[in-house]
Amino acid sequence: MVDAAPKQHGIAHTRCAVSLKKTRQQPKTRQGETAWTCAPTMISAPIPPADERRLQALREMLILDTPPEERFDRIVRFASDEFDMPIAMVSLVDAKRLWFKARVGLDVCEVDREISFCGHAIAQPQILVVEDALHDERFHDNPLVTGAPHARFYAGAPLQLPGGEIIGTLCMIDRQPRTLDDIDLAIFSSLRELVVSELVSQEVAV
Amino acid sequence: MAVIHAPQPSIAPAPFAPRPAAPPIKLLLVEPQFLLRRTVAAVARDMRLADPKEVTTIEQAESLVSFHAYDALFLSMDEESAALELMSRVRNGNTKCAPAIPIAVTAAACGTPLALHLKHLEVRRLILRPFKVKGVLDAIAALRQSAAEPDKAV
Repeated sequence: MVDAAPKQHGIAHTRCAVSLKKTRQQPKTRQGETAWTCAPTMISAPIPPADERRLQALREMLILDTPPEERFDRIVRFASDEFDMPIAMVSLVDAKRLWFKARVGLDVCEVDREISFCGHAIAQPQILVVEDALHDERFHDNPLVTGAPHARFYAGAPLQLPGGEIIGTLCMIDRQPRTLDDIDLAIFSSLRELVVSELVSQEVAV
Repeated sequence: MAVIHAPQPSIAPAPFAPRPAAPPIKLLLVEPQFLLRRTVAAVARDMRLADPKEVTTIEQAESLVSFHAYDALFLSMDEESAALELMSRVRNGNTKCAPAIPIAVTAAACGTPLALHLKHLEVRRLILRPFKVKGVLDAIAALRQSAAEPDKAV
């Protein structure tokens, strides 16, 4: 399901999606970890108050389910290299799913919004850093933590359009706990601004 | 543990952070790769390390140094002979820049001939590819310190 750099993009959603229902029914464990013995207690991604307006802005961009583009791919590659992160993505938060416009290190093209880290990250304009998901009540038994891609560290920089709508994130995942210092955050924020610039220029072009 | 950070974080003092009162230096940044150049420039501005002028070629840099003075140069050696010529012009006082301004370069590789050239031109920092943005910022911070204290080598 994961762990390999994508060689092909545009995989059919029905084949590549990670769903909460499926994952909960078939929990996967890493070596030495314990499978669920009780109902998960993770906190689902919240729905922001103005989600309809946010979704309208996202859909008007006509970017969902479009083919990969080098201008986004190179930014996630750059982020992955700069921070030595195995996984980096430009994710867009749709009504029920998280869809990846660009990705490195992950061969799924969408996940359920409910279990997504990015669903939490878009709740505020600040960068969200989860240094160790196993020690975070929102994520400790999240299927993306207990199963593939075995996320432990997450950093998500919300992509805020000029109108204020946050449509997704530039995000990075590691399989081990990490921290980012202030310089890292400044670099990550700068890369986020480049993604927003590309999104806005596309919007103008359309 | 979750930590929420502001989108434009106020940068805490880092080992190479500038003194708050010191103004950013005027830096000529020659780097053909868009993402690297833009990211370095943006973060250097945010950190008030430098006020970079971004160009992609040595030819553009040649034109700029003929009319503007910069406090430091940061050059890609992708156009090696042109870059060496530019640095020679600076050191010989044939530009608007002070001849002793600190210079740092990036290169894909550095053999003995190039290393001797760079030493002769008193290049303060050489960064070999692949490198991180953080490493470039560290070098710019050193250039800044050197520009403020020209007698001290970086």
